[in-house]
Amino acid sequence: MGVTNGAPDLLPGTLDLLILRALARGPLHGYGIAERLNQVSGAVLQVGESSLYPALQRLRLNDWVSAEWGVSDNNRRARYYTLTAAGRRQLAAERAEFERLVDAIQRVLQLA
Amino acid sequence: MKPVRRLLHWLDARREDADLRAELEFHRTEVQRHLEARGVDPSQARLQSQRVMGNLTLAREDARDVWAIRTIDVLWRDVRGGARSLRRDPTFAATAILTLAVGVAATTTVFSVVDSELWKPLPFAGTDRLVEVYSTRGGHARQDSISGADFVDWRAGTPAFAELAASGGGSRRTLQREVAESVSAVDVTWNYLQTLGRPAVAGRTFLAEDARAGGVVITDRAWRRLFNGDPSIVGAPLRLDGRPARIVGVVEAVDVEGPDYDLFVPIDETTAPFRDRGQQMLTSATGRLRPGATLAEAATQLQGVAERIAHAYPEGRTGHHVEVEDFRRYYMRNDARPLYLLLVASALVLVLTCVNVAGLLLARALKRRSEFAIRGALGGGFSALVRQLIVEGFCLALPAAAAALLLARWSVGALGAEMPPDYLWRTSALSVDWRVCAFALAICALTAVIFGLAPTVAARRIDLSSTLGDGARTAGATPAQSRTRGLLLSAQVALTVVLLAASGLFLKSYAALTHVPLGFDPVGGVSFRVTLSGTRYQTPEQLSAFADALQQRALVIPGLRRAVIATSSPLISGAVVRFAVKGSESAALVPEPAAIIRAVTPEYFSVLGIRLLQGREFASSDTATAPRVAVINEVLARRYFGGENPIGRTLTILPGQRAPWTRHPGDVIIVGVSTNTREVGLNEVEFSDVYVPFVQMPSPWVELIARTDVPVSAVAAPIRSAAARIDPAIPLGTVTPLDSRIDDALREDRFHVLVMAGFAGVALLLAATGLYGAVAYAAEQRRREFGVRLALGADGRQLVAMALGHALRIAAIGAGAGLVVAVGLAKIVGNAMYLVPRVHNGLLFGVSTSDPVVLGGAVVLLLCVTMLASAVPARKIAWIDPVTSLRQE
Repeated sequence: MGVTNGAPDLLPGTLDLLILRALARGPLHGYGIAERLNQVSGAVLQVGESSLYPALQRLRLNDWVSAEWGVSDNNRRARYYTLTAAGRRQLAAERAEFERLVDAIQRVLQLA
Repeated sequence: MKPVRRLLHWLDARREDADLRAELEFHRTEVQRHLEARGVDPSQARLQSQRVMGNLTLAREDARDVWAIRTIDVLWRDVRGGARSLRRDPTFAATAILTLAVGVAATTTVFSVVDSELWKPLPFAGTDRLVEVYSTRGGHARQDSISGADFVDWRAGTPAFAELAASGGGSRRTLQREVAESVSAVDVTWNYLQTLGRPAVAGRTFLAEDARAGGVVITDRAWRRLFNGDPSIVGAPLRLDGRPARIVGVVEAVDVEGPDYDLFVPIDETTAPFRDRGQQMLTSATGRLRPGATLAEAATQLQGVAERIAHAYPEGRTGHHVEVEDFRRYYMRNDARPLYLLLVASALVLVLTCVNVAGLLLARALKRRSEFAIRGALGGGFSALVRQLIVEGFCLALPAAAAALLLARWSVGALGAEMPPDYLWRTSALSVDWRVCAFALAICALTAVIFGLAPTVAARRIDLSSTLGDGARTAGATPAQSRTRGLLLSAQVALTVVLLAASGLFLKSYAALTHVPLGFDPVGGVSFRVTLSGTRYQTPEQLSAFADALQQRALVIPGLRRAVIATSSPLISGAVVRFAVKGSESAALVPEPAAIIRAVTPEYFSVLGIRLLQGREFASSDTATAPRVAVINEVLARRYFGGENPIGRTLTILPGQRAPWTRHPGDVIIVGVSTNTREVGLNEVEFSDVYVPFVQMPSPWVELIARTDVPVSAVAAPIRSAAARIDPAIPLGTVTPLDSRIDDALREDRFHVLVMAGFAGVALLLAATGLYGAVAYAAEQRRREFGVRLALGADGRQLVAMALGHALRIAAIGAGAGLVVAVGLAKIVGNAMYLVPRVHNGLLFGVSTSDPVVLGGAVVLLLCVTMLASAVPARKIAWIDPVTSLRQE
């Protein structure tokens, strides 16, 4: 999957985690998710559509998010993604796993 | 849950795709808006947003792939590919589908008949616990009637049975509500329906008290026919043979051995005749085993009871023993030879179809070698190729199965219409049910898939250089492949010869049957049958009076010349009695002297055209009080008197069992010997006949036989009204010409000729198309070679002859093999196609299974068709223009 548009590569599986985390604060449409990740990461993480939308479909398939058509801020039809209960559990699990991994990498970097 | 969501997504794929598209477009406009907000020119912003977004189609496809169900998508692609490749070769597709459809339809039709007749379970609850109990003397004697007293002892002495029920013989009775209707009725013990597991669909089945209260049970078929299915008829009073009766319930009609009875009448077990060990009122007994009890236990217990009875009442029981048999096996032991014949013939057609389709698929595989080679060269996997071929097989099989079922629906109807009325025992309505559909589909799929795969899988390694290098058109089939094609064609020809020979045998047999001497003259004879029942026809005098009145009234009908009364007449069988010959040595050699007995009025023999060989016919002087006399037929004279003169000798007629009127035992003096007549069919083991004067043994079975010189339709109404004037309450039969019996007797044989000829015709057609295709294919493949030969001065006619010679060689090899198979089959079948003792019917008559004329005729016909089928495409060879054929490369 990989992030396009010149952004640095993400660790595998991280994109799902980031999307779930972005949705934890409330429903967003696809563009909103990309914006949120861009803003919060200080423009380090630029998620391209070519990986964002397949990832969103994957999350839907796993029933971690649900999709509903709604109206955007500027009064246009947009598809909003909402975290489901299963998605919330998945977020917690993936987050714990990610922290364990980062922790491990940190320790290796410090000691080696 | 994932698969379900995938499936829902797949089902709604169009909307999902639109959503994705809209979503991405929204994303792009947001990017554009963002750029515009930063001061980019709107038209520039649009282009830039499109650039930033990259390849939207790819993004959409990636998103869609998340949901993709691999197998469905791949399968769908294969199905479309398969359908496309069949559309590219419509001649092949149409030929293969039609061939399969015709072959499978033929087999399916026969399958539906045989399945409903032999293999479908009986519609009784818990048939596996049902057994049939009967008393027999072994040998050819099938079974004896049972006295009520014996039956009661059996029932009491066999704890292995939960129930034991019995039934008597069937008879025609008169059921009267407003109008009198003739119904077929059977006497049963009150627990009979419960024992068989036949529940009431309206009302109830019998209770013990119904026998004395006149309660009867009607089948739903008769209920609808006589009372339009009126529910109020249950419980309503009516009259059965003049006595008050009441229908207590309705049960479903079940045809097990011929059509079911209309009416079940409970037997009163308290009457004297029922209790009398000398009166055998019951004909069959059926038991239901207790859970856990076995057939062997029941048999042992019954044997014990039977021995005790035989010890206490030894009279007439020598050699008797009681048998217990599985119900299903007992009822399925009818003559199933015609069904197996149909099955074998249709199986041959099916094999022929498969071989034909295999040939077509092989030719197609050869044509597509370059296609497969290119696929291989481009890296296409072998398993993908196999998968595609399987799917292509199904693309052929499904339409073929659908067409076959449509054809079968029609042909089952057509077969049912041609079938003699009593050809099947269990089937009232032939139908194409789910078993038949599954059968047709399975055969189509197996054939198309196996033979579609075989040629390619066998030639797994496709030689790329030779296939692609030379150009597929010039490279003909390899020797092995043309040998396989030749073999397939020869096999078709062989099977066709077998089927042609078989239908030839049936045709010759039919011709022989039409020349069988009947022993009587049917031309210009009419028959009218009445069965008398009820209180007014109890005494011999009452029966004689009716017969006499009918004869007298018939004689004054214009158009009728002579008229006689008889209990039955040739080709419709009759009651059977046992007898003994007084003072004869040779008679003792025959264990079971039995004969058809016929009570007839004077002039019977001359009116029917039966010749007397010796002695005299009955005269008006043979009155009820005169000495009892009899006329016997030639067969009886030969069997029981050998060379002695039977005239003046005495026969002792033993008490009859089934037909009450034959219970006039006693001595009769033989006064005449007549020629034999055909009694049940044209192909029968000759029967012994005893004729007695009607007044000396009057019967409730009254048949009026008369000679007429006007059409039957002109005398039918007067005859019926004459009978109605004597007694308006009796149900009237129809007036039929005597010669219609010969038609009826020939119906089964005519049916076999038709069916076998149909199968042979289909076979011949398939073999002819196969040969036509082979010659046309060879002519096409060798066009260049022929062109060269013609250019070098070869004679066109010689080339045609060469192609014809090739086809004839294939046909000759096939015909030879077919002859060997036909003769071999005849050896295996042996005498099974002919008349066997006790079964008065054979499939073949008057022709040997290896009849040289029939076998030779089959081969000649086949070679003629081969010539015709191959001459058409072969002729084209002579028209090849050398110049164009050489320039094609």
